[in-house]
Amino acid sequence: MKAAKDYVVREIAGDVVIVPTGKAAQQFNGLITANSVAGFVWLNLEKCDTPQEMVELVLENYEVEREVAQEQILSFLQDMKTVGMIEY
Amino acid sequence: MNPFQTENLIEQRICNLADMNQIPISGTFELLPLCNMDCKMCFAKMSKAQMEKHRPMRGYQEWLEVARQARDAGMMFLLLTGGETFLYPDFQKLYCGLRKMGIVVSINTNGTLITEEIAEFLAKDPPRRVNLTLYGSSDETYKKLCGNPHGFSQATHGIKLLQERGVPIKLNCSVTPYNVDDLESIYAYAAEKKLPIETAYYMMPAIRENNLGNQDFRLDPRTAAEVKMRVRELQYPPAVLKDYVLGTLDRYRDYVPSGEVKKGFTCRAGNSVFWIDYDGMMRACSFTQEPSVQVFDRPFIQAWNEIKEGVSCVMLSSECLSCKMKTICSTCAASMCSETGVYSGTPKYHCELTARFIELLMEKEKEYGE
Ligand code: SF4
Repeated sequence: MKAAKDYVVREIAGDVVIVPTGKAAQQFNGLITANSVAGFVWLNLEKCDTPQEMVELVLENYEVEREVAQEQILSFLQDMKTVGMIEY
Repeated sequence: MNPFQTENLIEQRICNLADMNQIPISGTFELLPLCNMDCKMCFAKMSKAQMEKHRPMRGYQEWLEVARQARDAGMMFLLLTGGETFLYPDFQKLYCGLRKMGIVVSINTNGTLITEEIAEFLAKDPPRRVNLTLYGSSDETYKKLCGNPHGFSQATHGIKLLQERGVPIKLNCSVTPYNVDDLESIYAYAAEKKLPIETAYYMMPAIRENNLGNQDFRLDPRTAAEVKMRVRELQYPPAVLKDYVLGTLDRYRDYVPSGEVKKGFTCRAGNSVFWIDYDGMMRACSFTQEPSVQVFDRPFIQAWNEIKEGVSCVMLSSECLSCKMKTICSTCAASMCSETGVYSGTPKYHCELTARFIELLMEKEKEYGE
């Protein structure tokens, strides 16, 4: 998985910031921040080939129930894919 | 210096985080000292011959390498400036490279060289903002102040090209004795075009050798105070102006200076903000000479650490620290140093400006019958 080419993921003092560029910046010329789990997902996209791998990675790093992680991470990734921010 | 005076909440949070952690979040690259205009009060401009003698400009790949290292150290925001930024030979290559790194870029320009090609290029991957300086509201004023008899027509054409393509613009206006009479019409123009505008009524004395003497072209402190008030009258609706006047005077009357002596600057410069001259000297801001470090011959992070350290040792004017007018005065480390030659000096220009501004606030207060 990876961020779509128009989005650059940055980390500033522990905050994850997503910078739209090119066509994405034509739509939204600003910055997007992600909360801690979402930020973790963004920073680790390239470590995972599938959404399920990401669920496992989140479970290894956060104390969260499997069911909750399963549901929320999968739908987060799907949403980001639908709006064209993530590719997999 | 705060290059993002209209920063939104996310930008504010990032800048505050950077401040707390001394991360160089925001920088300026002064790409070149060349300009197509010849403004009387300019502090940066050099002729081509002067520039070649001093140091030729750096190639875009060299700037990209500095940017890459700065980005790795945390730089999120970058202002490109000059001289005239659009005269930089490889501007487009540089801009594309910066954007690919996820850097949020703003551009300073006089707007007179903006062509359809440039506007189209920017619209494809818009900068955070084009800061376009308006020097007057007619070609006549541009002729007097900038030596360009077509400047106003060219700049407003540039604005039209950018606006048609949705590129965000902020107008800057530097008031001098040559264009002070245009202030009202500049504000009317900004309102008509629905553009934000920021006015500089204070100009630092030039500190670079090639431009010494430029203070002859700035407002005297009393006029600067009057312009400061006039700008607020133009900007604020009457009720907001009244709140501003009364609130500012309340703060001033309630303020008891602690006299506490602290080292370092009172702004973000040298704490989370840096400036690099066209010749590669990194400084805390464009108006401070020292500390300064050559960035092209050492790693960016080393240069940044040296600037941070240098700034943290500076002692500012003790008179300012214990001054009651401090709540209103807009002096800073750079103005203390450029007005007096030392950081610990008290810039009397500001004392006079602030005292006059307080008089004006009090006159307004009387008008309100408070
Ligand atoms: S410059 Fe003058 S008015 Fe401003 S804080 Fe210093 S002493 Fe006070």
